[in-house]
Amino acid sequence: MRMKPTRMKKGLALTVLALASSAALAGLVTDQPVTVTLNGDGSGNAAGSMTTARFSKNNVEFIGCGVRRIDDGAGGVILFAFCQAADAANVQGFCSTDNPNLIASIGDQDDFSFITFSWNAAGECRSIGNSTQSFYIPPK
Amino acid sequence: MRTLITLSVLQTIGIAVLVLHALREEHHPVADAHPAQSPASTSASVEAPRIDEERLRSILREELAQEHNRPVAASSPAPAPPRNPSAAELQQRDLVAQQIEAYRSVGTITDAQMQELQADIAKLDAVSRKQMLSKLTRALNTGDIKGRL
Repeated sequence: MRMKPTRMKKGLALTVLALASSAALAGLVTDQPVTVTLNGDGSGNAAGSMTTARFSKNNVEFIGCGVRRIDDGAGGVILFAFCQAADAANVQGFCSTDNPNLIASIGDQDDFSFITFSWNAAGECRSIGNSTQSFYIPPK
Repeated sequence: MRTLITLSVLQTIGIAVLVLHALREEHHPVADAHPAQSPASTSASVEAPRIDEERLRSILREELAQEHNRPVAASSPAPAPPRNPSAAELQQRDLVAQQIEAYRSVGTITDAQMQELQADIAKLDAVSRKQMLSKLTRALNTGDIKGRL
């Protein structure tokens, strides 16, 4: 049995439409570009999604935190951490800390985290936070 | 359902009794309860609860102030206060400070240089380490040094 060309086209169009609609329904996705605020006294804060920063249309935006464990050469290990970010205009913010509780919070961060941190006039981190949500995961 | 209604009625009656009791107390202050006492003793008996109340208030204030000043992680033992750096340690700190100033004058620091600098900072005593990390971070925040931690 041969199918008429018009019917075949209709069938093909419906299939494409069905596939397209199922691809579009992929859950909530939210872009959270990096924001950096620098205050006059040297304090500031930054926030943004790792995913949005990584896949932004510029080559300057980033955000993240890191931990350094360095042998002090005397049998001990020095531990400190830092967070850093740059927005699309390349305004950069940094903070560092040796506060064990703040350092521990960095371990909660994930690839798809929304990260936020703030610092005082001395550049010491005052807060480090993250939120790991499905809507920060990039669409397929 | 019936049990709930019964409980609700009992609760309402209880509240009403308490309100009545409180109103009655308000109309019969402590001084009225001792009419036979002399004015001096009356004022003393009124004064005594007031003093107790003041004392309680001051204790509460002290407790609240202590609670407010207490660090969040009160359960963990307080870290020992950092000692003052020795002359040799101060010399090391000055060397690191000079490095930071050198990077400031250049205006940039590479990732490898940053690693080295951080390793040097790690060798410092606790006080100096904090100072130099702060110095470096501030230089990055002001844009005097372009680079990443």
